[in-house]
Amino acid sequence: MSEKKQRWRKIYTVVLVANLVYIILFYLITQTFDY
Amino acid sequence: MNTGSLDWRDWLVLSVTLLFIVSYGVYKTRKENNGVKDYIKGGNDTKWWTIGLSVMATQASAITFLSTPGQAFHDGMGFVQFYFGLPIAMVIICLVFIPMYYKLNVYTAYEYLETRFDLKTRSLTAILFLIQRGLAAGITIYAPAIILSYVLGWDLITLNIIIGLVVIFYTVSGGTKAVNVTQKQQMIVIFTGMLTAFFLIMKYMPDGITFGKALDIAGASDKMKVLDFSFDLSNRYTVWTGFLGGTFLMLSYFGTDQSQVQRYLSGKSLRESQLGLLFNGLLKVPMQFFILLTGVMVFVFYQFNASPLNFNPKANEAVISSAYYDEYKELERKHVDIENQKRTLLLDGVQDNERSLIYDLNTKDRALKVQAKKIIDRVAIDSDEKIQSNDKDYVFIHFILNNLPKGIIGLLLAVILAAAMSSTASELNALASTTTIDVYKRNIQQGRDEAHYVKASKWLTFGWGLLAILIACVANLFDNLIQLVNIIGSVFYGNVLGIFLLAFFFKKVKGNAVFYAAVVTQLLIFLIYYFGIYRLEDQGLEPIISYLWLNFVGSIFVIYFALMYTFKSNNLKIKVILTLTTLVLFTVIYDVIYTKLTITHVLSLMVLFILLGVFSKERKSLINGSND
Repeated sequence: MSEKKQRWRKIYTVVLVANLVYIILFYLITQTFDY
Repeated sequence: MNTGSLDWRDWLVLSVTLLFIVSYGVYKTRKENNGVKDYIKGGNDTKWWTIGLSVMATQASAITFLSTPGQAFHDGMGFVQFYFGLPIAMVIICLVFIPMYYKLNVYTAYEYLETRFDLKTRSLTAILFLIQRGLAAGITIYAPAIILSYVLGWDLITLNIIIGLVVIFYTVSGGTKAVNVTQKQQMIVIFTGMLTAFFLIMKYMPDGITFGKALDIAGASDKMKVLDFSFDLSNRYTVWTGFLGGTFLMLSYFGTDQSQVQRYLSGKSLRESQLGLLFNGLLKVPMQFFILLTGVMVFVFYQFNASPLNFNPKANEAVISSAYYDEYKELERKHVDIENQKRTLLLDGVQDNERSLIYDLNTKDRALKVQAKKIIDRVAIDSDEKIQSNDKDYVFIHFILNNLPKGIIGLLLAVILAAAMSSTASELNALASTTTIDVYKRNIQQGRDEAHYVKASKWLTFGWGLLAILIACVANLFDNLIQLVNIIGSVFYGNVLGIFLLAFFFKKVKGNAVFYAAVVTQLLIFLIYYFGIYRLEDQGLEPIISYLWLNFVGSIFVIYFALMYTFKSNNLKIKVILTLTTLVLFTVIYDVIYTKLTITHVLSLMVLFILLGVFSKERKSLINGSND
């Protein structure tokens, strides 16, 4: 099978970065209230 | 507990919502399904947002909405880490899996394996899926039905049959398209219901308890820990298990489980399918965070309102009529006393000098709950009845039935039933498609016309639906069936994922190598489960590994054995890496038996397998002809 290489798309970076931002945000928010 | 009949307004909202969803699904698909493509791939005209919602609805079963808030109520927000690998898996599937499925224009994920390997590998993988998913479909109906039957007094068998028949009705009639369009409506109901519940919880907080103060109370009660960076893999929810174990689990579920693959293969184009999955990758983590936060807010709500010592009504009833009643009553008295103290303390929010007192009170209350569970377990043993002492599935439904206004209770019950229906529909749809395409059409009856296979697919949807209802109806007769089905999932999933990883990333590995490796791996996984988990737990001992890690182990084993078979007579470099991998594998097995699985084990194995993948790709001259 000779398949065409799939390109990396900007939207993949968007999804991964968005999730990283969520995690950082969750961490910061919950850290503020975690004692 | 509100165990009586529902108010007419709840019945109205519940029936109108569910009837609308089902009728809409049947109406929208009334003129279609002329061929296999229409019935199994929804005519390939699904837009990305429908795919995204459909993928989310398939994964979110009723238990997600019953159990997750209860999990947060008891253990806080840590469960969200379980989903951290999901976006990574979505991107890998978009880059590797979907383009290949599209290129070969397959109807099922397993069809691809015949093109890549051979018929026996395709059939073996399809059968592993059918066993696992066939059992799970029954549990998807049974798990919420048993909870609703306890709290509402509804008849379990009737409820199983109603949920099952409604799903069979629209799934048989409209196939994949009916599943997709109903899931879109079901997700709208689910989002509306959960948002309404969240805002009502906030509205019911005492005057002066703002959202910020509620979070402060949750933090002081140790419910706001989201990230756990500890390296101990026996700890189920950590950042590392989320990223590593989660990516593996989500890759196998979304990339190789036909109930998910069928959702995105119905896309209008490759791009629509990819966007649908990325939509899921973008929304899933915040959605889970929100559901958990709802559970934490229910916890804060119960800091100001009376809550039972155990939320399972059946457990409370059983204790009342047992010899342990006085002992339990004493625990309840202490629990009420703690609740009163906390209420007085928290009415003006959390003051800095009160934090340690709140912490102590919560610790005492948790200890009371543990004692209560022990009593319930003793009652269950004495009365030889199945009573669940873990009440996390009952927390949110208790809150809904006892606090939400009439009509909204109906909406939340619609959320739970819609979630049960959406997951079951995808499962029946996928089971029928796999049986039709991979078993019946490929192995039994080739060369018949389209109408014949559509008819076969409809009958098989009906048959799998009846089997699911049957499993749901007898599930109550077996101990720990839900856990058993989860275990069966872990026992098979790793092997299946390993086969797909070999197909995509290890170009030189051929059919025979994969087939024999898969058979050996499956046997080994059964042995590890039986001797390393089941037997030890049965004797009250710690298992050598959590069954959730069987996914990872299965994948590693099947890849390892297939590579051993493929590269058995090749050059030095690859032999060195294989020997290193073997040594590390033995060290890991030794460590797992005598100590514990750690992050270093997992990472070193992953690095070695990536190296093997790279070398097996680059050194084409390594292989002389086919290994098949």
